[in-house]
Amino acid sequence: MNPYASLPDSAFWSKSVSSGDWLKSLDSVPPYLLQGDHVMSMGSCFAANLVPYLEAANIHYVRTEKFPAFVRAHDSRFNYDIFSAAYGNIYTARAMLQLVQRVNGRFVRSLGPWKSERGCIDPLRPGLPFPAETISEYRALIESHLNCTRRAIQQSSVFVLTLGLIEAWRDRGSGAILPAAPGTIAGEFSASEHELVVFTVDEVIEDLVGLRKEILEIKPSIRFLVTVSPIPLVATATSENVVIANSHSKSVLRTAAARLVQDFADCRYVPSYEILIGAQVRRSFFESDCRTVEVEGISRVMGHFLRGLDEPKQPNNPEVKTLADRECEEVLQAKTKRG
Amino acid sequence: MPPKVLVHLGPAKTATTSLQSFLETERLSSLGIGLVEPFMFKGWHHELAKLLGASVPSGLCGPRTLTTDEESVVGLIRDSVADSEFDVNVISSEFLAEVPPDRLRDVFACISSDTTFVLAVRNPLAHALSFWAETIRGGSEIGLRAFLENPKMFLDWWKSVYLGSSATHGSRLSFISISESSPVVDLVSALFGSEALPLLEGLDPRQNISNSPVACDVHAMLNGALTETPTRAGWREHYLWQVLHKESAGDDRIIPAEWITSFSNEWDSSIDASNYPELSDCLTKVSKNSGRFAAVTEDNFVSSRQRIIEGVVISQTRTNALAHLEIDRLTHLINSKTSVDRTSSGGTAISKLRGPIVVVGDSHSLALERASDLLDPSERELIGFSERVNDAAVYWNAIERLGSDCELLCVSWRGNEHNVLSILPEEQFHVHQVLDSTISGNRHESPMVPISQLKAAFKRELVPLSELLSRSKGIQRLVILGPPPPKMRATVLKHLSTDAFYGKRMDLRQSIEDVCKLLPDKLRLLLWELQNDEYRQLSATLGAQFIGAPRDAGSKLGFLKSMFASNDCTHANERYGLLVLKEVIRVYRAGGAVV
Repeated sequence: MNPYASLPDSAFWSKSVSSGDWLKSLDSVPPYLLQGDHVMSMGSCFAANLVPYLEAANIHYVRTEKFPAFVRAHDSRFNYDIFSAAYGNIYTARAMLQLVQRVNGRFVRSLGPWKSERGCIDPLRPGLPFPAETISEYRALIESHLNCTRRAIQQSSVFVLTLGLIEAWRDRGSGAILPAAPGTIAGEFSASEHELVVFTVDEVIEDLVGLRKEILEIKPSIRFLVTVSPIPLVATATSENVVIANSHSKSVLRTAAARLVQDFADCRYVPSYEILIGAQVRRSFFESDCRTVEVEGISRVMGHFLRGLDEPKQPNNPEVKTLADRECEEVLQAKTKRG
Repeated sequence: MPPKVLVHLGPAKTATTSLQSFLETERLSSLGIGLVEPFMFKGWHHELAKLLGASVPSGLCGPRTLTTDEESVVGLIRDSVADSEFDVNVISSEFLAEVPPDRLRDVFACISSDTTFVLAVRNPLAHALSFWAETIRGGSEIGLRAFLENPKMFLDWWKSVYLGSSATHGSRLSFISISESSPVVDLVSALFGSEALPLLEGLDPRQNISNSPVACDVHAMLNGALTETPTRAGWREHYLWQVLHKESAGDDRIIPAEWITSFSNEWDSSIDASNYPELSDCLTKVSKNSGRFAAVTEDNFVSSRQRIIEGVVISQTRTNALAHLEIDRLTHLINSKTSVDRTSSGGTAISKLRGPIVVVGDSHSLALERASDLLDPSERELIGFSERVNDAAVYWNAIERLGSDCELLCVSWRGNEHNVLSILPEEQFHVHQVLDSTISGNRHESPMVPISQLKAAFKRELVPLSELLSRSKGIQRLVILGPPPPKMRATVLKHLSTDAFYGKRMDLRQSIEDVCKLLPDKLRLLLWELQNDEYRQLSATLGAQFIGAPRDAGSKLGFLKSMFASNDCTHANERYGLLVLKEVIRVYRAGGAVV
């Protein structure tokens, strides 16, 4: 008798991977979502990809910042119209924390706007296609956005967060984490005003714990599903090679996610990262750029994620291909850097 | 005896509109058959299916999308059936076919214990072509191949209709196989017996009762196709135009033979047709026709209009004498439309031209036309009004000729978008500029839309007009009219309350304000002003004169005075039209509006 003797096949690499269908071995975990759940999501562009799949599975995806079709922006490059409220992609735990802190009136340090010919740009949502025309409208739009975000949390039973990055650009004055480096989408970079930060594992854990606390303050009964984006970094501003930096980043995020799930019963981990990355996957689900996840890869993740619900369907619009192609702010950042 | 209920599940593109239109004529009342009242008015039947859980394309519900609770809907149907004087009560909605079967069963069990469900089936390939044509006409850009290969768009939906519905309803579900040559006759005959057929005679096809839906699809496509952009319906006509003229023949814009074969095979392999004789019959027909469809190639699809009609769609009905007549008619249509578009309007759209000023326009121009009788004879002879034709694309295409035929062209283009946004909005919203000072932005339950986004949306609506006028080189003098101001809240609600649906809702002890979620007055006015600004800017860009709503027509608050309002929610009357006409004549006599 030894401690491994009574363990299930899924505990052994040889049985669940080498000679088995590893993905099937995950079937024993309870469903993540229940029919009737109201879901909101936040995080990197991978978090946006799941939305059409949720809706195709008849899961109610909460949307509180939805405009009439007549005025809806057709420029969805930055995913503002995808998420529950128009916060767009949020890559770091710190930025998510700061957003919900703002919702709760806690992170109120002044930042922006960046004024341009287009109007008053919100540094925290620089890609919004239609910025405010005046300062007062700028403030009112932010207030409305935070209100919509609060309502989204209030209306949700499940909060899905996808961790994307550990490095970010910070506004020195306010401490605000910017979604993209100034000068890429909008604004101008200034070394005296902006700095690169690379979060440690302890910082990410602390931010996630803080984020959970802030959200529970708004909706005490909400459940959390934590994922790590399998999409590699598009670029790193550290001196590391991008592959090394990517490995570091994913390791930190994965560790922080594990810690959150370990410490809090209302948090569960969804192995989207493991479903697409690692020796157990056996084939690549990435396109030739080794970064864009194929539609089949997304479907594979969502098939697991939506287990136990009505038979998962393909999203009901032909946009499914473009989801995989959707540009992230970080992509734009890299292009700018190249260009 | 429980009331007999016949639930017609559709699906779409199986002569459902024709059937509903036929029922609305009430000719079947002599046989004791009637349509259940809440669904008599066109378009509403989509809402029924949606409320019961069907995934109805949003475009089919449009601004009338409602938030009615299901209990009220079922109550409405039950009351209507209970109060009905008919022996057979028909409920018809094409998207009911998509409602989960157990849901249908549960809902209609509450209404009558004597319920029969019927579902029409037709040749799947012809069905697919029709559905695609409908989707294109509805504004989609999707190519045929993508449409048919996209599971949600057609393939899985169609399969679920047969497999899902039949699995639950068993003997209570009847299939009606309709032919391509006489679908309505088949449908009516199967539903109500041969004694109903004589009642079909003498009906006007313009009542949406067509006996040849496939031909109608082609007809409608060509009607839209053979006009050059810009058109009121936007890009989709242009898209079809391109297909027909080989200007942009992408691979998915023609019907590839190999796909036709695989599509037919798909049906053969995935459905156990033996359980359904009618379905089996359909599949046999597909199989027989597949060679004919497979023969369609880029050459005969694109280069020969005659063969388009014969080869692609009408081929199935070529043995039918009526189909030959239809081919002749469509061929004539193609030739005549081609000449319209290649040369000029040819006088098709405009005939009542009387003077040097010509007014063309959409619904808001009616107020001006009606006002012309109020003008002095000397003024009346200055103005001609365009004749209305159903085909808006042809109508607007004729402007090119008008420009060179008159001294001053006066254009009233659309103008109801601000009303569409504010009356029964699909989503509530607010904007910074009209925030009530007593309410903090954070207390609004609806999201705030940036003003720049609203401006962009209104500007987008004017792009087709801008392109059309820019292209029309012959225009000497041009006036662009702004829409009349919105009406007072009470006036809008009063008119909405007389609408059959909303009136019924009010009977359920709900106030009209509970049912109709108008945006706040200040916001409605702002939307109108923003739309006017875009007309004004376009006029300046083109060198045209902009004439907005006359100052005297607005109340102190800015709404249209009741003395200038017509008997609906949005339009002005002839007294308003007279004020505008006077201003147009003043501009004309002053020599203004020179482009």
